[in-house]
Amino acid sequence: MNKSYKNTIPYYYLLALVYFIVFLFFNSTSILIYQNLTLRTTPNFITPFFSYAGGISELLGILLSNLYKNPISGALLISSIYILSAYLTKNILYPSKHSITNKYVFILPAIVLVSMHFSPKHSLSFDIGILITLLLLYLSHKIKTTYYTKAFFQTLILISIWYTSGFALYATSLLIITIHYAFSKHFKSLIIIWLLSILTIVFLSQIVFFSPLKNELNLLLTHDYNIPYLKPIVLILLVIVYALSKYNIPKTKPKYLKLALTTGFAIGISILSFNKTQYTISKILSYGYQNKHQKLIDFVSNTDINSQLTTANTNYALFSKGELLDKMFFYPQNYGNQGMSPNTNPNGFDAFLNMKLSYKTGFINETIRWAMEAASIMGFNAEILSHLTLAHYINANNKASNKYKALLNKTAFATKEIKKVNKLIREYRENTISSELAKKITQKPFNDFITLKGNHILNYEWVITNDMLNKEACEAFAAICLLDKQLKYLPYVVRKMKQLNYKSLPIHIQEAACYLYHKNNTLPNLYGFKLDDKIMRKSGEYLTMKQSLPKTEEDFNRLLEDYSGTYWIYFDFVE
Amino acid sequence: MNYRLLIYILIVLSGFLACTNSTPKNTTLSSCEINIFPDYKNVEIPVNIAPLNFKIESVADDYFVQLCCKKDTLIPNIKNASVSIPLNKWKKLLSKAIDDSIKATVFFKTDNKWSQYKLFYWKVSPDSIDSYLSYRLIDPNYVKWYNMGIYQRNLSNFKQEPILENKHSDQNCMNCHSFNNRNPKQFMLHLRANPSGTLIVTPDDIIFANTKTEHTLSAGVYPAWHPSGKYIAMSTNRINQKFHNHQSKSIEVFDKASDIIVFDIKKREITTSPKLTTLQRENMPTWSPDGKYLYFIKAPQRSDSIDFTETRYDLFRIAFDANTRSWGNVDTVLIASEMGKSVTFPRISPDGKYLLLTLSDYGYFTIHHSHADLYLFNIEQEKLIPLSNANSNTVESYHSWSSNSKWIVFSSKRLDGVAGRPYFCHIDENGIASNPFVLPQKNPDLYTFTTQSFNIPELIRDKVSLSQRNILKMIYQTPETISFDSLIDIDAITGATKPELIISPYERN
Repeated sequence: MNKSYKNTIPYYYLLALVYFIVFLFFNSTSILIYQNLTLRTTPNFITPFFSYAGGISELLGILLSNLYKNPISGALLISSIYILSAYLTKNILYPSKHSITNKYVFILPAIVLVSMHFSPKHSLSFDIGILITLLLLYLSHKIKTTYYTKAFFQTLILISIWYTSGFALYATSLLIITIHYAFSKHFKSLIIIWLLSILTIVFLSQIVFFSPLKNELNLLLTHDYNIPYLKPIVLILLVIVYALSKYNIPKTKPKYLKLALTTGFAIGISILSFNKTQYTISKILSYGYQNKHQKLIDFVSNTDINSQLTTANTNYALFSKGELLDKMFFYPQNYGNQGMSPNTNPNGFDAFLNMKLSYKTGFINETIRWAMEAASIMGFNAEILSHLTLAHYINANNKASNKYKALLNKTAFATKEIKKVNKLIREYRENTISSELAKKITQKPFNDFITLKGNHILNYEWVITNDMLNKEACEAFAAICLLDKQLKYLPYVVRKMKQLNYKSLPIHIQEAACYLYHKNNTLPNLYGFKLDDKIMRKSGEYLTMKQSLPKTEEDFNRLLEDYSGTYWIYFDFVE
Repeated sequence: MNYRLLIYILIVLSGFLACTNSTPKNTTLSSCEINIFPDYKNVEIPVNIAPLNFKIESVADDYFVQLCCKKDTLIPNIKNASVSIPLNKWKKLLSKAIDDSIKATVFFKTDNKWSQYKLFYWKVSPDSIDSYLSYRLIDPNYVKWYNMGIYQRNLSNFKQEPILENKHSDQNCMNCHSFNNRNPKQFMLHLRANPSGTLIVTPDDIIFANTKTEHTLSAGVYPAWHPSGKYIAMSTNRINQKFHNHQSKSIEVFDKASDIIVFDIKKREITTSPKLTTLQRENMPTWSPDGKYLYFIKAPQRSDSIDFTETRYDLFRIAFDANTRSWGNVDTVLIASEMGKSVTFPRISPDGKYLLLTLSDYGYFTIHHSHADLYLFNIEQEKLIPLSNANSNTVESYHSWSSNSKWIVFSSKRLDGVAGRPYFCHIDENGIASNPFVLPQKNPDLYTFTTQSFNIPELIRDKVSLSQRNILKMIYQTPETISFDSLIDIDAITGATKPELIISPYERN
């Protein structure tokens, strides 16, 4: 290694450290959720990846992307991708024997590659494809033999690149090899490589593996990134870097300018790749996906994001912590009952959330339905499989339960879920009365009813009627009544809460009761519960202020501000 | 160097010797019956079926399996209790066992002693089965979908090839693959979402068409080829689904309205009869093998006061003249509702003797009904025969016949209660079904670890040779617009279900 390269090494590693810290903060788990990462160690899961070009990269991508589950290993993975890709680029595409204009140029493709990770929809298979390609090209450069033998081996390597990493990386590698032979003016070897590799790949892609180019182009030109066409940019950069290495250009620029330009490039492309809204949504979804309820609530408290799915995730987090009826109106509620039960997400997160909510509230058939809907898009991940195992077990469908349990046992990185499922089933078998599954079996509807689309109030009423001690269903029912502004159900909710031995009524229920009191001049039947004096007084003040409010925007905003987080604002002003 | 070579030879030889199988000696006969997965015990199999690889579920330290017929013996390979039968040896054994049985003897070792389970057998029928089976592989979902494909499987070995996979067609939905008399050169399939339309392949032509017209309820669904290959009957449906909450039920798919239409392939025209487009719900058309009758099911008009659990379909047929495209009268074939049952998926055997159907407690979309069972209807004797051997306590539903009318394939969820798997049964001259067996797989664990359903199993005589590439070329073209038969008096607004048409001229006046 010549001296000029050695000088770049501290910078090269410093950048890796910066990326590690940035992605530790960015939280790589947010990338996890957009991808079907479930890896099952069964032949029928693994074999299909070998049946098309690029499948091996995809499989390895799925395997490695499980490192995203932990923020530290996720950040380490991303910085390792940077180090490896930069190292390989330097050693293959930018060999030190040439004089160069900028010794930092070899880092540029790696910088762009890493910046792709700012998009939560980025798939690790692309990185793996690039690393495999660079590694194979590195091997091809190491071959010391005659030009024709080398051409033959390089053809084999190109075909391997196509098979493992796909057509785009094959085309990139072919261009790099073409530049190499064009400079060495060995055109016969080049013709052999072109002809042999193209003919073989046409044969393989059309006859052996059916891999239409259109599919690959769709993946290459994906709109998943904030900067358009980021994938082709990386590939083009690799070719440019290699082409530049062939020119002897005298050093003219001062060293620090090169350093500044490279750093500027890294910062610039990172900023341009970062989409704050997408980041916020994906972080909320990832917390929801991992059942990190408190973290989700804390994060949402400091953001102004407002979508159906983030609202539903926030409500589910509050629900899981038993705080829904006390705090739900502290957060935006613009989607009515769909804020509890979303139904619009093409990525399957709505179904995934509905599965979890259905299970918690005792809708066992609905748990299975939403689990299957989620699985059709997200794949049978560990959480879906554990829900299916338990729901079928509760439904006494042992064949199906055993099937999903067998699949869960074959799922890699699912130790936590496997342990949980085994524990729940074991507890039920050992002590059938007090176990969680025994409780779920009690909650299971004993009379059939049809789930009414959009009418969650009636659906929950059925479940509550079935098991009056189903606290979770009662709370979800109360929340939906509040969201649907159906206060006629309030006495029913309060009666259920009395049966469930609530010590006091949740805050939003009290607010709704106060509202009814001021509206009808009489309190609804509270079954012995007492309303908090402070809430009662505040509700009176709110109504007075609302009625006497001049119609200026400033006063209106003051009202919203003074009474934000109350049910009254939602009831009166949210459509 | 010589020592190394010697060691190498010894290692190879010892490995070879270790693999050599010999029947265990001094065995005792156990009274235990062996548990195998899938359960292939005592079934009848066609002479051209792939090896029935299975997994031994009865626990022991070691196993030894022997398959015998007359003087021929085959020793399958066993690894981790999975029994794998070599294909070529299996074929030879099958050919020698025609009209006879293959005896399967399984020895097991516990505490260093070998014992033998009770024997089981495979009766080898001289009646062969069509060489390919087509099906759609899809996760059992309801509204959302992602990966799916229509595949063909060589029944003599384990080779499965895609006819069309949606990973190449923008993850769209595909279904209702249907063949004319099991002919792989004449078939159709529907595509939903983009690209969407109906692909119709004939020996002379490939058509991609939009079968929805302004006069019909929907695009064509549930197709049936006329034996002449000139027409395809389809239903048009307003389909709904509802979700149950009791553990015994999952989902109900029902129609608010449905009619039957016939697509004239050459004229690119849809025609129908007022008798097939009434306010009642006509559905699931199928042709008699001579093409002179169109069989279909029909339920009363939907009303809000009638629960879907009270909707029962009966079986009818209507005469059809393929030359003049004219319709005769509607005959009643089977009034299932009088038995408190509902009939669906009628399929007539190629010899015209039997009509295979599903009877359920209600409705027509019985793939989610655990009470759905298969029955044979003897057309000449008008006699209904339950296929008791084929049925289980879970769903038996979609089915089709082999070309020689000796085998049926049907979908059953008996393995896991969730996903449909293709089962085969031999039907004898008296309409008695043999014990069914599930489609053999190279790895018997496949049914444990695959989540996908084998949807709409259809037997075909040979391999579909039309490549995915050619299919994809077609389906990315703009679908042809189909005209509606101008001679049929249909209301364009309400679709094919035109109230006036079911009223007689007398009543209309």
